Amino acid sequence: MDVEFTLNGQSFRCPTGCTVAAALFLLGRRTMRLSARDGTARSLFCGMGICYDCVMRIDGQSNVRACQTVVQPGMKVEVQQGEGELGDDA
Amino acid sequence: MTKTDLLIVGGGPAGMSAATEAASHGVHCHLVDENPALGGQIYRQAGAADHHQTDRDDTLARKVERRDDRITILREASAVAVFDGRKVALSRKNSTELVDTDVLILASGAYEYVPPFPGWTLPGVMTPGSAQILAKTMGVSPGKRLLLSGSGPFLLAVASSLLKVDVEIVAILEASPRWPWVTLPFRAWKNLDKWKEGWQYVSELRNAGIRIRHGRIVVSANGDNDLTSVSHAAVDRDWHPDRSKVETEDVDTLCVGYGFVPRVFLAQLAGCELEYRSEIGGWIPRRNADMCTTVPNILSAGDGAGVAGVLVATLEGRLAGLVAARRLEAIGDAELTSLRRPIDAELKRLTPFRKALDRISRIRPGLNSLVDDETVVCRCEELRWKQVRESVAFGGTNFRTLKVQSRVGMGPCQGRFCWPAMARLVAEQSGCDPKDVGPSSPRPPIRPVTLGALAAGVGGES
Amino acid sequence: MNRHSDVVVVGGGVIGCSVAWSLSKRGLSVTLVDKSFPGRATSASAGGLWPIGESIGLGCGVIYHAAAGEESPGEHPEPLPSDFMNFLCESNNRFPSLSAELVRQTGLDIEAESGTGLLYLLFTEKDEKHADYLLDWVGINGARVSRLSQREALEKEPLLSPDLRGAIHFPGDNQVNPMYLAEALKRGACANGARFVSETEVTGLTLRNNSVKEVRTTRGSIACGALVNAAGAWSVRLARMAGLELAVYPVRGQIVCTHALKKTLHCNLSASHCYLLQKAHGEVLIGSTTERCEYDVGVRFEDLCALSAGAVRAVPALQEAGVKRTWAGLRPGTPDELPILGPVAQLGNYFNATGGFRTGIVAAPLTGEIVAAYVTEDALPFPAEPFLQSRFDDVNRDAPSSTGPREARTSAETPFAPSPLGHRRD
Repeated sequence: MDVEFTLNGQSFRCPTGCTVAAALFLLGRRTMRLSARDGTARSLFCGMGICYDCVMRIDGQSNVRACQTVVQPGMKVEVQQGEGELGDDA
Repeated sequence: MTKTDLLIVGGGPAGMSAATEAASHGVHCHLVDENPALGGQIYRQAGAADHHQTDRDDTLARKVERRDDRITILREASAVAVFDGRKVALSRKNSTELVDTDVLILASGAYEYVPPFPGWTLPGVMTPGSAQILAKTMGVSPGKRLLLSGSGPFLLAVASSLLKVDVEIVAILEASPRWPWVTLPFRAWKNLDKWKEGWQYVSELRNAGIRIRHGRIVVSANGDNDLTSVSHAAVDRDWHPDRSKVETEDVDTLCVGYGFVPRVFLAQLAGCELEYRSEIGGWIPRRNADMCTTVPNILSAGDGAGVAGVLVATLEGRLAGLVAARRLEAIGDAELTSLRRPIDAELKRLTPFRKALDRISRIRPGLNSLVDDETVVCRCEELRWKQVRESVAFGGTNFRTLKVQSRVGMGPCQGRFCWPAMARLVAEQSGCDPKDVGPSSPRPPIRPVTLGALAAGVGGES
Repeated sequence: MNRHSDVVVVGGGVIGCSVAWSLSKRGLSVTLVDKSFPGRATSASAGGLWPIGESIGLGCGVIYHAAAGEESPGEHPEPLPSDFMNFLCESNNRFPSLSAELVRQTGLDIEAESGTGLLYLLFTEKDEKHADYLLDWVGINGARVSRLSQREALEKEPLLSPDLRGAIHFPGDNQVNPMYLAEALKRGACANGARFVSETEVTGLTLRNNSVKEVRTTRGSIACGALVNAAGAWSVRLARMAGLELAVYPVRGQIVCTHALKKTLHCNLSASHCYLLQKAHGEVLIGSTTERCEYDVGVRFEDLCALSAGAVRAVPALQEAGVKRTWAGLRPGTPDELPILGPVAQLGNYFNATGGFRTGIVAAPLTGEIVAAYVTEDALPFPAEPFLQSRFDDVNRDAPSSTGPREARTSAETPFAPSPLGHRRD
């Protein structure tokens, strides 16, 4: 277990080279976002960056595809609620 | 603006072979891929050094990398649009750039076809490819108890990858009946080597105790914000489920996929004419025997031009590389004719097997009956089938007219994921052919670009 | 398809739907024929309802003035005639009641926002001088606007760039969803008995005794009592089928659209290089260009970059917003930027409802009522004589004009001579 990151504020580790999606699956925490209209849980679906179901708020930026993003040390990952928002650290 | 002789979009088997072929005849190429490593979807490489890769997986990639004198690899760059002939907009994290190329080869590959059904948006439901990437490139298990459902040999390949991680594969549900698979070697006797490869997967799975059940499809995924079970039923020859006898299986992961859809968006943006060929994935660019589209000096090869698998992709890529070399006058007509002969012969040899496979796995209308009024058909916009049906009744007949009435295809995926299946549903509803409903209408950018990256765009005329 | 209709309305954009709705309420049988060409203005539009803003030359006005650079006739974009501003305001005022009526009748919400307002952003000294000029003009013409300091502007719109010098606030200038507006008007018309024929192109007109007798289409013919030309950028083709000239030409506008975001912008924003507004669904739309390139609905890399740069300059936080889609629409442009409504001398039962140019959406409610009144020979709800096509009829079209109102920046070298009537400050 080589890389430390946070998920909704909680600290976790995962092997280097894992995507955010893979790391969440390792943790058994599959919900990546809640849909805008119905608030239903969404997760990894196509795995190749086309469907946008796996988008999360990562390091303060919304609409980032978890399946295309490799976990970096200190990465801040949050379940995205509905639509994205512009970061406060912009 | 950067000028290139040959720009190849897509670093999978077709793109890589086009690059090595063209380079071997002296052509300077630029190979663009979104990922940090080459290989496309099929040769998906691990992010970490300590995951095992077979030699075969990266031989082609190594060949490409060794030719750094003639092949410039643009990694983690997306081709987001084609303007004005052959000017390609490439996007990286913080900037976009316009590249003008003499010859363009589109080798963007394909993505999976998943028809909507109740519960398909639940966490735990994913494409087979998605599960394969988790297992094969990162050694991560997609779940504890898993079911695969759909059609085509890819399901077997994915199941084989999944054997290497810690997951219980409950069953593989193949929509088509058993007998065409068994008789395949007789119909495709020239391609026994391909059939043997398939048989290897089957034996491997049998030995691991995994049931392959033919003539069944999943009719619903169940659970409350997380997948807990899946219901499936037997189907007739048109894949209509027999709902009187539904079985329910407790699983937390469902991999569902019925073949592939070519990524033709760049071809569309470039103005290439499309034609509809249902058995190889739907809309494909119209091409001649030289891999050329209807736009001068724009070629297309591999699954992105019609789903035909990795061997065909590699051969088509080589052919495209050769034709590009001819267009750029690196080789002459006589050379092209003789060099392409073995490639054409091999493509011809593979044809019966491909055609037989396509026939077995072609999408049948029974999948349309999986949706009910409340099924979400546009995942991005959370639109129900009922709403889309209403829009069809109000005169919506194609992607553009349905869009303005119902928001179909206006979400982040811009109809990429939902439209191939929705077109079949709309066609059935309107009593016409899916090809009359037309493709989606992509606009730039076809991959993510931020406003900041576009604001910092370079290469255009001011 | 019905073989006869009291009125055939050609063009199913927002104007055609509005006319169809107004006519259907008067008990006439209406057939609305639509061929959805790529680039139809209604779906390409950002949906700003800016009666004052557009009248005084903001939104697209100031953008093409800036783009015209040295070629521009004056130091500032010229405001449009105050009569027209009053027409737009009257139409704009109808949105709340129209919205309520449509949701009652069809269940569709047109997302007409009130209370947003429009901010014209001032970044340079030139912008500030322009602001002074505008305030003079609106002061004379009685519109309610106010000048804001940087602090006041940032209070209204916190994410604005700190480089901002100030702004002008137009409280009555809001926005709507143009596609839902058209759709709701259409469904309302159909609920009143109108027929909508989709994906159908008009191939010809049968004329007899100075009247249009029949409309021939790709799906058969319709005998008609009257014909309304609401075909937007394509209305000149229909007019020619009737043997008429029409001073309408396509003016392309490009738009950049972001992914849906949580509520980020509170106001509609207009700067000298772009305008921005956030729709109810959360997308921020950024526009636009004004180009003469016939019916080409492509987008250009350099224009998309320029629009994005303009947006990021105005609201720096937007730089991380993802771009979801870009597109181009074809506005039905006219030489004096005023619409072309009403009858013509040559045919007794043909009516124009086109030339909406930059203000078609906000003008839609009143336009529908005016054209319907023309058709039924009722009193007009608002003076519409300045909008007749006849105002162009004695102009020599081949002579380029060196003075007069601004022209759209052209990429083809064929200027369409503007009307000598022009427009002036009153």
